[in-house]
Amino acid sequence: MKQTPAVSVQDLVVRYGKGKTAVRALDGVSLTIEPGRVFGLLGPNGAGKTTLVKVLLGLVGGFEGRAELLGEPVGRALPRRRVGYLPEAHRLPGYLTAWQVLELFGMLCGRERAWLQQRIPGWLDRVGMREAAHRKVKQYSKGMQQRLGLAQALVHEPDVVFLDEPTDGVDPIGRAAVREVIAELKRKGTTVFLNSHLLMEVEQMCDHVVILNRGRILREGSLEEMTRGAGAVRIEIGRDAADLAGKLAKCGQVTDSGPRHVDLIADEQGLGAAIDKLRAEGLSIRAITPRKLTLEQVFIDLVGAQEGSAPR
Amino acid sequence: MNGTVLRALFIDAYQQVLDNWVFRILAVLVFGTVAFSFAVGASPDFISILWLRYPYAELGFEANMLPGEARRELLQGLQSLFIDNVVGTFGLLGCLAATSFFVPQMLERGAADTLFSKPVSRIALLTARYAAGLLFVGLLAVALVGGLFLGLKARWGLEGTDLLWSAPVLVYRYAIVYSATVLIGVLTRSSVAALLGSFLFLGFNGCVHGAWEVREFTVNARSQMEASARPVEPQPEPDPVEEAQAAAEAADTEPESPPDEGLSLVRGLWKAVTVAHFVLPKPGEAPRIVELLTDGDPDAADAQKRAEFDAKNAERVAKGFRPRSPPKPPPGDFRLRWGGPWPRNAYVSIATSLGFALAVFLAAAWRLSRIRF
Repeated sequence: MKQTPAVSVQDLVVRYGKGKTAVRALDGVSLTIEPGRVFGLLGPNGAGKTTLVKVLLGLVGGFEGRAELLGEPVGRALPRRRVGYLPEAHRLPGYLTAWQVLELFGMLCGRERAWLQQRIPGWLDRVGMREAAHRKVKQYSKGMQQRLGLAQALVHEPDVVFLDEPTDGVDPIGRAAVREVIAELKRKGTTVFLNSHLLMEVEQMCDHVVILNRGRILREGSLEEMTRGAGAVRIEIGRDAADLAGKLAKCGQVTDSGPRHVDLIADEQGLGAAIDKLRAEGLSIRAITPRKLTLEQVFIDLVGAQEGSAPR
Repeated sequence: MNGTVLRALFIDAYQQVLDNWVFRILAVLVFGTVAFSFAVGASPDFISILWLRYPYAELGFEANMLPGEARRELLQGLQSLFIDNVVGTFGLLGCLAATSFFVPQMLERGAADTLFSKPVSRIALLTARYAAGLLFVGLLAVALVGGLFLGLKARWGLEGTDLLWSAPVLVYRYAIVYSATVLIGVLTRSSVAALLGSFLFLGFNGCVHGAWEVREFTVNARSQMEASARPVEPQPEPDPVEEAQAAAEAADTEPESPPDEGLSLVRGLWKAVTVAHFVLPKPGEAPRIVELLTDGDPDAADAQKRAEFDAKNAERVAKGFRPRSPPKPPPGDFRLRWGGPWPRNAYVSIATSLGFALAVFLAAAWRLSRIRF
């Protein structure tokens, strides 16, 4: 039996403003996320990532197209009971303690107080907030608030979690704890929707990625598919040679070079031209190995190519 | 919305109120006032301060200076002046200042995202914030009035429960003004704007009602003066046929008054003031509502006084004296009454005030439902 997608959007259009000054924050986005995936949403500032998340959570209305969360149209209360959200630059009520925050948001999601009281100590431990559990939120540092924000998104044990920059302002130890929490969610089969500028983090945690720019999806696929790097190779030569990058610049995109190697992204024809060029220079080729791209390289290539193309 | 969510919203409101430093200051003032009412007392024979008693005679006053009736009037005066007017005005301003940020703070970026993504309707969350304001004032009002009631009962021998009416009326007064604060908060999403806007609204509201009161007083006083200056002569029963003919002739011969632009502007202004008076909430009438709740029906009291006067007059006439003319009501005695004509009807005052508060709150809820966070 086919599972209900965690998230499903079809031809989603969101406009801000009216008339000629209207801006399309989302411009025909279609996306389906199967349950149990850790999903990375990438894009430069203003790409429409947060708008997409806010549409799914019912925070932004007045859109065109279809958007469903856990099989139900967005905006309904019922699916939102099974959803956790950590917004970017969130603010928790300063007059509450960490314990009270977790109780409040858990109860707002329909969990009984007694049920929460059994689980809150565990969540406080996981985000390293046990010691400060009974201090007011207004006394917390940014990192502490971020960790508490993560706990409030998860305390009611949701099926889908939206995390917008979850490690923003968190120290390296805290970041490791956040990664561990996300790994645990993945093991439990929770769908995680991760929105981050830290591409290495996304690469470490996500199994599926969408790159969004100017309200449109540029590429979508598994992390493996994304970074397989069509045409990315490392060419190693037998002896030192000067200016390898300059010699092969016309054959493709040189991403790195040294005296005895050059990293090149090129199609078949470009690769052939590069081999010919090196042989013509009298350089013997020791090895040509396909190379895996980093997510950052893919991201920069895609977004950079679009930014260099037609204006918005 | 289930019980768990309601409970969560209540706990949140309660914590928000308790954390407020203005609330704490006001709570200390309330505690001091209540403590004073327990510390100082009076009986028909002596004044007591803590456990010490000072008979009136020792203080140079006549014995039995404050009999039961005088003490009752003194306490009524205290209720009217201190609780209904001083606390009802300055306390209200303090509470508005302290609670005006409740809604804008909820709508700040970051806070709103977290809260409104929860499976609770926006109107429920707004109502919870409104209720937090009412809780703020309710706790203080109950502590002040309840505490004073107990203190005055213990140390002054206060009888009856009239004083207790002041607590719900204080909350009523705040509730109708706070609805405007909530609307301004939703529209501007700024704490400063909500605070300043609330005070401006209170000022404007007071000016409108004040202008209406002045006009009513003037019109009433003039009509009473005209009535007293006119000699009262017995009028023959009018013949309906003659009366109709006279009216028709008057209609034919009466010249049309030339339009006076200045006068029509003033009339238009008064009409606008009158309409605004009936539409806007009337927090200023709250002390009078307390009077009505505690004194019963003033019309019945007037009727009783008149009956007593007539009985005394009959005795005078029986003894051969000339009868006294009945006392005239003071000009401008057009105070709110339960059974008064509709501009002066207490039920109308309460209904229009609550209607305004409800309409304004619904407008805020509608606006909130349209906001994209």
